[in-house]
Amino acid sequence: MRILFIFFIFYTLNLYAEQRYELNRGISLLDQRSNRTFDILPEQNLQFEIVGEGSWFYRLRVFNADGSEREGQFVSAKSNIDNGFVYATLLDDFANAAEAVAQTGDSLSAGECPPSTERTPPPSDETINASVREDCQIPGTDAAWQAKCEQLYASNIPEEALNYALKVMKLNATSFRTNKCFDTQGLKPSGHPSMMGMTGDRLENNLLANGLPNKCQMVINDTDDRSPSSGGDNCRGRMYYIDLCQGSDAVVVEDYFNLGTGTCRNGRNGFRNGDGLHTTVKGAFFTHNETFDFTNTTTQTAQYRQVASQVARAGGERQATAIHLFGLQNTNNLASVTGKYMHVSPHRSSWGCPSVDPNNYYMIEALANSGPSLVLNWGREGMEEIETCTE
Amino acid sequence: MYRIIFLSLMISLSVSAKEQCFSYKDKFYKVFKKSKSHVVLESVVDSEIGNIFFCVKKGAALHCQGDDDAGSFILEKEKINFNSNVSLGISDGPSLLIKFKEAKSLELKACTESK
Repeated sequence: MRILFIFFIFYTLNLYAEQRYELNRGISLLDQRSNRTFDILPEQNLQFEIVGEGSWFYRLRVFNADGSEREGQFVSAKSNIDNGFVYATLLDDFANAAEAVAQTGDSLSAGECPPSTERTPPPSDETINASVREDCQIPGTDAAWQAKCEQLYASNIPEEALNYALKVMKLNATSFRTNKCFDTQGLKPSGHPSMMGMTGDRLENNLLANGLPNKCQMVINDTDDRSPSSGGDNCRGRMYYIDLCQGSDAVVVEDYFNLGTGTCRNGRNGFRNGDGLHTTVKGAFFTHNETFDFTNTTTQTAQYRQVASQVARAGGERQATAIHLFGLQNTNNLASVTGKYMHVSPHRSSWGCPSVDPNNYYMIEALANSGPSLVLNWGREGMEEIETCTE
Repeated sequence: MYRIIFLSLMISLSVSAKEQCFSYKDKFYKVFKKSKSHVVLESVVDSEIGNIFFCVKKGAALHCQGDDDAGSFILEKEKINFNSNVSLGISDGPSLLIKFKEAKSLELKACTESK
């Protein structure tokens, strides 16, 4: 009798464990009702019940921490649940399914639960629009994002630069793959004000474990297009701030960024990736996910306090907004240790930081708030193939 | 009263003891600790032309690296070893560039001696 009772308790507990799930890692869910993918984190204390299944996904009910049910029709890859909620696998499955549908032309209507025995096409039309150019088909993005991505090709951004940026995003969409070169030259110590405790290990295995989080905002700096606002010494290049998530159309803000005097003023050092050369360095960077106050890193405190006031007047936090950049390539991987940050600046040149107008503080904040994010210093010559540093 | 004077003297001595100077190509530079991990290097003539360097202690030396590609050096008790060019000031000027073709070591002295 006791044995039967123990079996009963064990069965009951086990059944409950199979019905309710909690997150131990950040994952992405697709809400078929809104046709949007969104990220959820363990700290949100959500719970799940499985209410149906396809060949590769489970249909889920999602409950808030207070027990109330979230509205939506949620699906997630089986492997996310079977393997402990691994986000990357979900997006890989979306991508694979997208390819399958692109070949067959099938689609799944929202809300329809497919028979579990057949190979199921993706649960929405996201990522599978065959008319969308391949560069814009990035895992984890929806049809609206891809349409805006297409619009970028009608902007002033050089097509090669755009292709390069989107390639970096695509390669790192679901896991951090451009990881072979970023820390080979060392990073700033974690105690530095710009690092705020960050280490290479934390960046790679925590913030970027599921790939580049921010697919909304990015910055492309065109080092070839020297702005006439530089004061005649060629020390300002063209910056493109891109937002693919706000509004109905792609947002592209054009302004300047400051080049390093080692590159622009005497030009002797070109774009060399060195220490104390004052060069702008070319290549892709991923940002930190927190801003810091650049005033803390300079003796020019009076000037930067004025900048902080300007930022405050423009609606930002009273600080000289700055963000740490991690160079991902052999051409820019000294940027962290040499302190080449993206920051607001009162000057019209830099010593290698892609510094920007104080009124553009909000761009830095956006890169941090949804970060890590992509910043690209691009030029027609001297770009290293991104694959060289990608596993 | 004597105690207070003695203590004040000790404090002022300890403050000035943190400052050391060196000269290079007829220019004088001051180096001092701003905090446990921050060292300031600035022109003796114009303190506006300077920079903060973030330092990490390795053995008895401080390994210091600037921001905005200001360069790096190793600070020992009586000498400063430059790994690269070091820049003080701002890119738009005024600025000073302590420029070397290769790594160089310079002797540190009390600031009153080196002026």
